[in-house]
Amino acid sequence: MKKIGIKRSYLAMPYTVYLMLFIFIPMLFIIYFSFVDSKGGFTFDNIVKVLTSSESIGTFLLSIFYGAITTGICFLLGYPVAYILSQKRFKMKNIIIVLFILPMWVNFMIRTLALEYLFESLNITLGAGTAMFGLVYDFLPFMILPIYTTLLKIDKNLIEASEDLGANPKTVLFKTILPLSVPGIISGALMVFMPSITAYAITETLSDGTFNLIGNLINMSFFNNKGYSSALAIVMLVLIFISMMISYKFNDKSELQGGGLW
Amino acid sequence: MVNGETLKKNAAVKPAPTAVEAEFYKKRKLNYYFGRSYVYLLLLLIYVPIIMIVIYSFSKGSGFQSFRLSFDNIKELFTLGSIDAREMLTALKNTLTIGVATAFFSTFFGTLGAVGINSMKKKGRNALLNASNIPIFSADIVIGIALMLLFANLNITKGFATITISQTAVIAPYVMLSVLPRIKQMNMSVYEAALDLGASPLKAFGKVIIPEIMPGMLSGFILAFTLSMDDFVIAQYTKNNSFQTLSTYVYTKIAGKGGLSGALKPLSALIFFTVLAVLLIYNFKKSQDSKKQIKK
Amino acid sequence: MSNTIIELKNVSKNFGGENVVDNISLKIKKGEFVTLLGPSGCGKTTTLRMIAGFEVPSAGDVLLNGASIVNTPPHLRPVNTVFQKYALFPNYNVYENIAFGLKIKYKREAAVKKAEIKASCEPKAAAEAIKALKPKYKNAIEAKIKSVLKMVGLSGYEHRDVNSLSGGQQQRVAIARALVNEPEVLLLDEPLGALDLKLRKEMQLELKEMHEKLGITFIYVTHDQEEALTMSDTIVVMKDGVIQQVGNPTDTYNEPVNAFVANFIGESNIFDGVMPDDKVVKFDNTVFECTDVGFKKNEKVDVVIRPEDIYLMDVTNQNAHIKGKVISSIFKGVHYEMSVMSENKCEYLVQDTAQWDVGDEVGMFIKPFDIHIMRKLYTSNIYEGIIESENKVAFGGGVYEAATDGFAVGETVWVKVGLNSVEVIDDKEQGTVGGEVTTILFKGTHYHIDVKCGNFIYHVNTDVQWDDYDSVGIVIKPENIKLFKAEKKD
Repeated sequence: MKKIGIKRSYLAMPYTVYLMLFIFIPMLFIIYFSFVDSKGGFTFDNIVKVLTSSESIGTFLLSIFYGAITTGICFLLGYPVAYILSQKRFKMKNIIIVLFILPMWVNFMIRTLALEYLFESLNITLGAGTAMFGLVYDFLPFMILPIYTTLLKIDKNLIEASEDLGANPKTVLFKTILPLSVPGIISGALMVFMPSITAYAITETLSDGTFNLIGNLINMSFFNNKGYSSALAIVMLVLIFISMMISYKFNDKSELQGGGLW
Repeated sequence: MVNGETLKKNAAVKPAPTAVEAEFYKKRKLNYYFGRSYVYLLLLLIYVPIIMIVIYSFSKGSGFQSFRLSFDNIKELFTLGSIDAREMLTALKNTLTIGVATAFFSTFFGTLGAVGINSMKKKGRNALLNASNIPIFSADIVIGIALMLLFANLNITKGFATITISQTAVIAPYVMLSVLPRIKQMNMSVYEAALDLGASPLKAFGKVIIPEIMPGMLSGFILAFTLSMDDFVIAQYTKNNSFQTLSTYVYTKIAGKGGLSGALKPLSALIFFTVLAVLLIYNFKKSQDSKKQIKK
Repeated sequence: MSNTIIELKNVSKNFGGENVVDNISLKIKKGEFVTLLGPSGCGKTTTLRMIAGFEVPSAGDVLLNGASIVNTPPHLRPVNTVFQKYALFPNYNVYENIAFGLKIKYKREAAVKKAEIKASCEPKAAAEAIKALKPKYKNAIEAKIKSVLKMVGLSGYEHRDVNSLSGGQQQRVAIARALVNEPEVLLLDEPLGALDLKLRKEMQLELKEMHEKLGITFIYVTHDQEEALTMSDTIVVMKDGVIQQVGNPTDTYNEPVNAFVANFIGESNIFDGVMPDDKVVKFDNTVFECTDVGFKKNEKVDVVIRPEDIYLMDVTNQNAHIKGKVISSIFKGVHYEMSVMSENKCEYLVQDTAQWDVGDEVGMFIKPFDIHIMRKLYTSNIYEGIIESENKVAFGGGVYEAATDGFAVGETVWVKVGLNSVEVIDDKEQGTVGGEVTTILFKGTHYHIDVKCGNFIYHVNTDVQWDDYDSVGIVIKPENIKLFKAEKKD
C-alpha cells in the first residue's frame, strides 16, 4: 500500500517545458540565423553590419533615447496615479484600475488608428511627437499596474514610522514611499521600455512612416534579409538580458516577483 | 440598579466629527480631491479616442473631421452588407477564439507553474522566476521572429494553432505571476494532507488546490484573454497570409488605406461596451461578495 | 501640576460608529513607566496611536506639557514610537535606519543656521561657514548613533542589512531608532510580542534598565499582565475602550477594583455572592467573614479570592470553612495547582505547596482579608428600546417578541433582561442577533460571558463553556423581556 506521491514542485514541469520549447529554443533559431548567409553558409557579416552600419547604430541610439523618454513620461504620469489609487481612502480603486486596463479590449491597432485620426482632425502633423504620444498612451497601464501593486504592499507601519521620526508628508513620500516602491518602478519601466522601442505598428502609423525605431527596422528588414534582422534581434536579446539583471538587482531579494501586472 | 455605564454602552452613539477631527482631515481631503481629479482627468484623456470612435460610429466617412449623421456604418455591420464587414467579423471571430484558447492554455500552464514554483527550493524558484520574466520584459517582435523561424524550419503550417501556441508562451508567465501571490497565501500542506488521506495527486490537485486558488486563476484567465485580444506583433509573425485577427486585419487592410471606415467603428464600440458592462458587473459582484464576507 | 507630561482629557475614538476608546481621562507623570494593559480590542493601541498622532481623537483633548497637541501632526510631536513589528525600513541598513530621524532634524536646524550665517556675514565667509556645517552635523550624527547602538548592545552593527538581523536584534534597532531622537516620551506598542519567551524576559529587564538610565517617560502597551507587573510604575487596565483601574503593580494585583481586573491580572476565583451585612458575605451557600463594609443590605457582589489564598486542610479540621473533593491536581514547579469541587458543586482553584491527590476529601480555609468584595458593574442588561409593533420591541441591535401591553407603537422604553434570561446559541444566523464572545469569567458554578453584537453588549450567565471570539446567536424568550416607561430626564 505504498503511496506514490508527486512532489508539488514537479507540477511546474509542463510550464517549464513549454517555456523551453516556445521561448528558449526559438531564441536559438535567432542566434543561428544571424550567423547564416542567404545560401546557408556560416558568416559574421550580419553581426558586423549591425555593429558597424550607421543605420543600425543610429536606430539603436535613437531607440534608447526615445524609449527612455517614453518610459520617463509614463513614470511621471503613472506614479501619481498609482500612488493616489493605492491610498486607503480611495474607495473605487478596483473600478478605476479596470478602467485603465479596459482600452486594451478595444484592439490596440484600432486605438492607434483612432489616435491618428484624432491628430488629423486637430491638424497636428504626424511625426516623432505624435508617435511618442501613442507609445505613452498605449503603455501607460504597464507602468501604473506594477507600481500600484508594490505600493499596496508597503507596510503602513513604515509610513507611520517615518512620520514618527519627524518626516513631513513630502519627506515621507521621497524618503520612504518612493524608495520602497523601486521594485515596482523598475518592473514598470522595463515593461514600458522594451515594448515602446519595438512596437513598430504604433510608430509607423502615428508618424506616417517617418519615425523609425528598432522595431521598425527589424520588421522592415525581416522579409528581405532574415540574417540581418536576426542579428538585430540578438542585440535586443542582449538588452533584454540587461533588463533582467536590473530587475533582479532591484527586486526584493527574498520575494522575487518580477512583473506583478495584475 | 440602572447602571450609567451599561446604558451608555448600549445606546448606539455615532458622534458627529468634532471640530478637531474636521480640521485635521480638511487639508488631507483637499489633497485627496486634487489627486482624484488628476486620475479622472488622465482617464478622460485616455478615453478620448474611444469616445470619438463611439460618436463617429454614427457618422459617414473614415476620420473624425466632420460629423455627418448616418446609420450606414451600423447597418453595414449588422447586415454584413459588405466584404469588409464580413472579413472584419471573421477576424473578430478568430481573435475571440484565439483569445479563449490562449487564456485557457495560459491559465493551465501558468497555474501549474505557480503551484510548482511555490514549493520549489530557492535556487530553482529564482531560476524559473527569472526565466518567466524573459517573455514579460522582452520585446514581442523578438519572440515573434523567433517563433516564426521555429515554425518555418519545422514546416508547421501557420494559422490558428501557431498563434495560440505563441501567445500562450508569452502570456502564461503573466498568469503564473498573478496566481502565485494567491498560492503563497494558502496553506499548501492541505495538498499533502489530501495525498496522505489517499487521494491521487491529480485528485488532490483538483479537489484541494484548485478551489482555493480559483479567484487567482479567474483573474489570470481574464488577464490572459485581455493580453491576447491586445496582441498584434506575435499574431502578425505567426499567422499565414490568409488568416487574420482583428489587429492584423486592421494593420494590413485598413491602416493607411481608408482608415476607420465602414463597420469598424461600430464594431469597436460594440466590443467596448460589452466588455465595460461585463467588467463592471463582475467588479460590482466581487465587491458585494467581499462586503458579505466582512459582515460574516 | 507641571509634573504631568501627557494628559488625556475625556478622549474618545470612534471607528465606524463604534467607540473603540470611550471617554478616557489619564495623567502620566514625567519619567514614569506606564503600561496600558488589556485584552486585544480594548482600545489600548488606539490610545497609544492618539498620543503618537496617528489617530485623531473623535472627542476630547490630548495635552503634552499642558498644551493641546491634537492638531499637531505626528512628525512634529516630540514623541517616538517603537512599533509592534519593528517597522524598520527594509531598504536602509542599520545606520541609515537610526539616522533617519536625526538627518531630518539636522536638516531643519541647518536650514535655520544657514539663513543666520548668510544674514550675518559677507558672502565669501558665509559660504565657508556653511561648508563647515556639513561635516559638523555628520560627525554629530555618527557619534549619537554610536552611543545609542552601544546602549542597545549592537555596537559594530552599523552597516548590517536589517533583514539579516534576528527578531531581537531588529527590535533593538527599532528601540535605538526611536531613542536616538531623544524624545520626551517613548511609546512602545507591544514591542516584545513577536519574540520568544526567554528573549522577551531579557528584553523586559533591559527596557526597564534603559528607562531608569534615560529618565524619560515610557508608555508601554501590552496584553501580557506579567510583563506589565514586571516593568511598570503604573498599570492602566483597559477593557472595551474604558479604563478599569489605574494603579501601581502591587495595588493592581492585590486590590483589583472589579471581577474583570481580578481575572485579567493573575489567576482568581470569582464567585457571585451577596452581602447580608457589613463584614459578612455569603457565597457557595456558605457565610464567610470578610473585611469589607459599605454595601447595601443583601447587595449582589462579586467575590474574588486568589488561588494562593485558599488553604487546604484535612477534611476533619474544625477550622475549615467548606468541604470539597480534589478533582484535578497539577504540579507547576513551585506549587501544586488543584481544582476542588465543594459540596455545593462550586469549583475552586487552589495553589498550595502541599500535594493533595485527586479524590481526596479536603477542607478549605480562607482568611477574611483575603476575600475581596467587589461591586457588580451590572446586575442585568438594560437597553434603550422602541416599540416596533404590537408584541415586538427593538433593542440591542435586534427586534424581539415581547408583551407590549400598556405601551404605544413607536414609544421609547427601557428594556431589562436578566443575566440568566439571555440564551446563547451556536448558530449566529439562528439568533435574533449574532455576535462574538468577548469576556469570559468562570464563576465557580457557571460562566459569565459578554457577547458583543455590533454596538451592543449582552451580559450572559451560561453553563456552557465558550471560547473567546466564538460566533454566537442571542435568543431571548418573550416572557423574560421586561419593559419600563422611559423617563424624560434620561
